[in-house]
Amino acid sequence: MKLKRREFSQSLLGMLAAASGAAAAPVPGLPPQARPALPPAADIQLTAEQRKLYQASLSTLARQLRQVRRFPLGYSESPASVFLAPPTVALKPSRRP
Amino acid sequence: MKTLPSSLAFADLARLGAGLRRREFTAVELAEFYLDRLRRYGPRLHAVVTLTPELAMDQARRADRELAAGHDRGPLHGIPWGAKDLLDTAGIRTTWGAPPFADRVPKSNATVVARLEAAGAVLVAKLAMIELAGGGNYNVASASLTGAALNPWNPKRWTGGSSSGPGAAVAAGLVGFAIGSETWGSIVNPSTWCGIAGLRPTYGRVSRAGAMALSWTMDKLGPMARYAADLGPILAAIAGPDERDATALDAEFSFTAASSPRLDGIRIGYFPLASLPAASPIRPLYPAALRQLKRLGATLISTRLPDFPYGPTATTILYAEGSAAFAPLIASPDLQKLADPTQIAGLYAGTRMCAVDYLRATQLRCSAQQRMEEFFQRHQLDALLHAGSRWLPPLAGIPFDQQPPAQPAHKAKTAPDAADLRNVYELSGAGNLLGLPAVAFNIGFDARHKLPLGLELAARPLQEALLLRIAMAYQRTTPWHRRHPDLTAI
Repeated sequence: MKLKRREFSQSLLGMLAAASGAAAAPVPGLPPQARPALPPAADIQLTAEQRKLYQASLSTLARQLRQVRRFPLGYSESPASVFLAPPTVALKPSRRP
Repeated sequence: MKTLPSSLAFADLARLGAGLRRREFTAVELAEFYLDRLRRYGPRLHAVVTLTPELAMDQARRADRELAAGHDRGPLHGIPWGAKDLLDTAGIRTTWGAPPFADRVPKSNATVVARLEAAGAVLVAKLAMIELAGGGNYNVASASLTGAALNPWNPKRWTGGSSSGPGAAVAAGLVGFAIGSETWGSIVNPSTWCGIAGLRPTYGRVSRAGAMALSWTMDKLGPMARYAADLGPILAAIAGPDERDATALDAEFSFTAASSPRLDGIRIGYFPLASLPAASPIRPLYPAALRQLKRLGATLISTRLPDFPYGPTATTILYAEGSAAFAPLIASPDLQKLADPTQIAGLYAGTRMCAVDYLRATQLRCSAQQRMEEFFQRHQLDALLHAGSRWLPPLAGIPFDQQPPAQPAHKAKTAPDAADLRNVYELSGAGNLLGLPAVAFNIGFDARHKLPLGLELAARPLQEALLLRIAMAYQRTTPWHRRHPDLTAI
């Protein structure tokens, strides 16, 4: 299933809604079981200050994710070969001394 | 007991080793000397979590016995050192700098601890750190079990983090050297702000077995010392494959210091002065450091990093992996015991990360590795240099986002421009995202505040020896690393 960018953004809005204490909004295009398994912020004991910081963290993450989602991958190998490769896998001996 | 001269506190490994081998002092005397300084200055600087005098005396007595018997384990034999308190030590509490783990006592040693013991080094202290290495982010220097680590050069200022105890203890001459960790800036940052030398090894160069996990694909362990020349022998002792850590590379590290400080034939890319914010205190020092490297024979090439969202990609991976690593804590009421609410909120926020985003970030990382390799090839670069400390260390008692305008440590009122973000900030993100090695070293002092400022020099994977050669050449021809803080005011 391919999600459009707008739908991705909406999933983040769902996360933000959860942060504000509202029930987690359904993520368009995803079945219910694909929603975050962890309880929304309302279910854990966050103080008012922590809740505010939590929302700020989510907003920061949302800004970062926007760039991660938009930037073209641009790799020359097949996606399968780079799937989940940690840095060591891609290490190459340097060609200069 | 013999009284050792206080100047010995700031000696390098060669001087300490020579003194031991000439019987000028014993390993026991040297350990007691540093333990005494740790007891005197450690609490004032909030640099120490736990002293390890019994272990130290056992190890020092063994070192003396072996030297007397002609068994020399090498340059670290009998040298007192301190471990960032995220390295497991058998039977000695290892707190991860965090109140919820204040009583955590591991049963076995981290591989790095075991390797340093095998090299004859003497563990004298577990050193302070930002709680959980700052994985969920933090907004106060006191985000630590032991409070805000204070900078020996000016105790009103912070040391930097998250290897804050190692930064303070090495700069103040409380240990011979220390081991820190870096996921994103945690060795380089306190090294530059404390005026010492720090080495962030290539990802996988040093085993993380027995070290607190924050980000499995970004965590690195590395040495922090007063002199760049000391970093090589320490890395040689701790590097190499480890059956306890599948990510540890099968790549031994050996280092022989060059006889000449000449850097002819070495090409160093640097970001132009214009990429630094106008108010940055390192601006007056940066051109002089570049000139010095050029004088030594290096070819300097003004450059810019390939466009890439290094920072956002690293953030995505760090938050996802950090929140996974600390999932049991996040699900526990102990989460509330953390010292900084920003950390609590950040860790919880990381649990909201979608798997799809995390996986895309790991794919982007592979793409960035290719781009970076091409970048080094295209410009025939050996190393990349940037201003490691763009700002003075924050005032220790004030949250980072409320620092006076002249100290825009995190949320700058004189905001860095786009070029700064793309280059200076991004090199730190890029280096850690891609697992590149880097060395940090002092290039002078802020004229007004008398605080040290430093450079970060990064290279391709496994090029630590080259980085050390450049840093050592710089230090052999400049005086900054030979200055030490005056502790009488502390």
